[in-house]
Amino acid sequence: MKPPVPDPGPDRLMQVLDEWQPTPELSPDFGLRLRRRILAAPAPLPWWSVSRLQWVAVAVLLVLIAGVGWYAHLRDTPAAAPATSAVIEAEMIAQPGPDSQAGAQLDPVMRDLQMLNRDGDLIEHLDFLSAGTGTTRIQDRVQNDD
Amino acid sequence: MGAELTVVLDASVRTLDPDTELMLRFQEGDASSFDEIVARYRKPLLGFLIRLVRDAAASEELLQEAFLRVYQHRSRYRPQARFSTWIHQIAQNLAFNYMRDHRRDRLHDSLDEPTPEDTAPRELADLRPTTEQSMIEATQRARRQQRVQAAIAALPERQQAAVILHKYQGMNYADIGSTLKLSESATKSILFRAYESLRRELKDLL
Repeated sequence: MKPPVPDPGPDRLMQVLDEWQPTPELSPDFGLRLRRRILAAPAPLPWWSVSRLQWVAVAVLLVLIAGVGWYAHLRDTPAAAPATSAVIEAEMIAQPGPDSQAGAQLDPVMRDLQMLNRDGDLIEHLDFLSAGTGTTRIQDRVQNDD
Repeated sequence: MGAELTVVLDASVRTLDPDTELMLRFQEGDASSFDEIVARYRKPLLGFLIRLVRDAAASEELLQEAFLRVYQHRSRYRPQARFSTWIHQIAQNLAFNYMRDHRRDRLHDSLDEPTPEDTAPRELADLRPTTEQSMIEATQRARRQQRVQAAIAALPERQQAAVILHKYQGMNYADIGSTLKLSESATKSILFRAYESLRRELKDLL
C-alpha cells in the first residue's frame, strides 16, 4: 500500500509561481514617445467645463423655467381696466332691448336708470300715492263707478 | 480634531512614502518629479501589465497611457492613498478594458496554447547529459512557465489582479484592497480562492 502523498504546502505553490518571470524590456524610444504623447494630448478640461453638455442642459432648463414663469404671470394678472369714458361709451352702444341678454349682464344701477327712463311718464303720474288725499280720490272714483 | 488628524495622516503619508512625496511635488509644478516617477515605475508596471495582458506590445502601449493619465489627472491625486496604489489602479483599469475588448482574440489564442497533456513533465531517464539536456531543461522550464501563465489567466479578472499584485508586485493586503476597491478581508478571501484554484490547476507541478 502506497503512503498517502503529503499535500504540498503553499511554499511549493509559490516556488512554482516564481517560475513565471517575464523579462519585460521597454522599447528604446519609450520615453520619447511618451513625451510626444504628453505634448500632443489636449490639456485636461477644468472642473467647470468637464461636462459642457450639462451646462447647456442647465441653460435650457433655466430658459424653460423662466418662460413658464412669465406665462403664468401673464395669465394670473387681470387685464388693465379700460378708461371710464370707454366703459360708458360701450354701455351706451350696448343699450339692450327688453329681452336682451346683454341687458341682464348690465350693472343693477344702470338697469334702474334704464327703467326710470322707460317708465318716466308713468312714474310722473303716480304722485297721488304720496299724498293722503290719494285714498280719498280713489274712494271717490269707486263711488262714481258704482 | 478631524482636520488635525487628517493633517497628521497626510504628513505621515508624505514622510513614509517617497513616491507620494514625488507626486505631490509634481502636482505643485515640478516637472522633473514626473520623470522620476516614470523612471521608478516603468519596469514594475510593465511587469504587472504583461502578466495581466500577456502581450508585450499592448502592455507597453497601456503603460504609456497609464503615465499619460497620471500626467493629465495629476490634480485628482489625493495623498490619502499611496501613490503606488493609485498608479496600479490606473494601469489595472486600462488592462481590464483592453482584456474585455480583446477577449475574443484571447479565446482563439488559448486554443493554440499547449494542453496540460502536451506539457506534462517527460521522463528524464531518456535525456542525454549534454547541452541537449540543458536545452530540454530550458524547454521544460518554458512549458512550466506557460502552465503557470495559463493557470493564472484562467482565473477571474479580479483574482488574476490580486494574485499578480500579491505574488509579483509584493503588495500587502491593504494596498491590494485599495487597488481593487475591496476591503482587506475581501482581499484575503479572494486571494485564498485564487491560490486554491491555482493549486488544483498546477497539482502535477507541485
